[in-house]
Amino acid sequence: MKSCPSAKRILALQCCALLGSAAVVAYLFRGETATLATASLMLAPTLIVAFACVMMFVRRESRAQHALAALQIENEERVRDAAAHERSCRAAEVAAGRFRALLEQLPNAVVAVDPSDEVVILNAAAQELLQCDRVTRVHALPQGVASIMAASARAPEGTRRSREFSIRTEVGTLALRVESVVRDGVAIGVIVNLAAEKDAERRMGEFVAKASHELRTPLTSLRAYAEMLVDGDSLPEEERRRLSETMLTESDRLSRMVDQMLSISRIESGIARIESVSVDLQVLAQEAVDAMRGEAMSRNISLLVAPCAVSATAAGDRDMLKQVLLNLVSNGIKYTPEGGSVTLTVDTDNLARSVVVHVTDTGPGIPEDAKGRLFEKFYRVENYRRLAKGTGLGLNLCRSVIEQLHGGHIGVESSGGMGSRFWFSVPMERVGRIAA
Amino acid sequence: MQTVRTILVVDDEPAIVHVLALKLTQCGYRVLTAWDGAIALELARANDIDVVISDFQMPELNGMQLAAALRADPRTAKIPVIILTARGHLLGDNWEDASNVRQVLAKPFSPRALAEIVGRLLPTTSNGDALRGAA
Repeated sequence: MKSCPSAKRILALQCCALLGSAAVVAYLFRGETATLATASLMLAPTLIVAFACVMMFVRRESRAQHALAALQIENEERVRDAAAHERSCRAAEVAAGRFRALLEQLPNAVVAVDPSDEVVILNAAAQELLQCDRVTRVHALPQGVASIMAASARAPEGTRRSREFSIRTEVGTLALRVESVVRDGVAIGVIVNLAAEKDAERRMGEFVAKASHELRTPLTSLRAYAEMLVDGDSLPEEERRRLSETMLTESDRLSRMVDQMLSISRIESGIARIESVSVDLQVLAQEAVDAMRGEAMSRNISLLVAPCAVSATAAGDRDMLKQVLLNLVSNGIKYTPEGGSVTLTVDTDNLARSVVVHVTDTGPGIPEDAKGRLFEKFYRVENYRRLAKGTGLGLNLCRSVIEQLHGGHIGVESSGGMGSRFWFSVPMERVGRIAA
Repeated sequence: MQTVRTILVVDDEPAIVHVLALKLTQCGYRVLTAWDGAIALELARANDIDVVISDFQMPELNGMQLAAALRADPRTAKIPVIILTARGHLLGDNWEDASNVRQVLAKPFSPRALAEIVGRLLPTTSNGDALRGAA
């Protein structure tokens, strides 16, 4: 279409040039021969047409170059777009791969179902929990899961559901809870094994019951003694003083129990941190013995630290390790009959690269059936409750400090009636012989 | 002349035994004490006991086992028993089946209130009448 106007323009130019040339030649060669005029008339239009063709070619060439440049730009843009698209696709593939890996690593069982009842996700945890291999249809899942997931997959966007149910497996009946939500038309469900939750609840219930019992005991004394003092009841002065002293002792015990519960809670929840420094346990043992000497003397109990031939320096928290030593020494004194002894020995275990402390008493020893439970919270050997007042938390706190905070070990050796030997070990900082 | 009533107090917590003994003595009772169920059973068989006040959680025999042992012996079967407990929910729902257990008191308790309960139980125990529901 574009060539038509150009052709007309060229034709017009050719006619103009023909007429112009004829006029010029007629004027210049008036009277000359007709041959020259004719030749001139023939040549002029040809030159003009040739010039016009050249001009047209030049213009077409220019347009073509412009078009080519535009095409190149367009092509470059398309190449850039294609590269960007490829990068996006690759990123999406990477993200999908990570998502799949995450799903497989999740300890929670995850299942996803689309509205056509196709199972689009069933991660490894779900396969293990539900004991079913990769399934493609929702109804191949165990009944409880299948019904809630199929219903959820047809529910409106954002719908949340939660249901508890039981399934029978080869290992027995499993109590489960499915929590589902609809996202982008797909129902995504997380399946929770309630056994662990129920076990945690049971343990928490036991702890609360024990804590309640242990806290009520000193509270009972405080409540009863306070009432006796308030009522007066014509108590002699000596008796009033005794009641007041008992109230102080019981309130101290209550306070100690609460402190220990908080310390254990902080350690177990990972909040507690140790300030690890170089601690000479021989020196620390002597400090603990010095602190407890008054109590030992009041009961005529011999209390000493055995000489140590090696440098027993550990890496640990000085205050916490001293608290452990004080607790073990205090226990030794409390349960040892008058005239007995409590001895501390500090040594090193070069093979295990640890410092070992023993606290040996000449008390009644630990019954065989109680050894395994001695470090449990609130556990107290029934027959020894009357021998000494305690919180039932001291040894549990010692274990938490030694094992959880210091990476050490704690234990007890005892044979009935032959005394007890509590010990703990913590990583040593360095070992070196004292020069003789 | 009025007979002095004898109360047997059983608890492995010396402070609680002491305060109860003090309160009941002031109320005019004769008080015997024991720190576990086995000793308490011996004392109950060997003495003329009017009321037993026992902690629930104790070594050897716990409070409910002590009550059952008292119930099983004709000499002590009619002695009313008061159980003190810091964990009432662990007694179970059928503690009332123990016919000699007249009251379960949760710790912390009031010695004054306990003395009143003992006072309510005693007047009808002298002739050995059943007291179920008296408390």
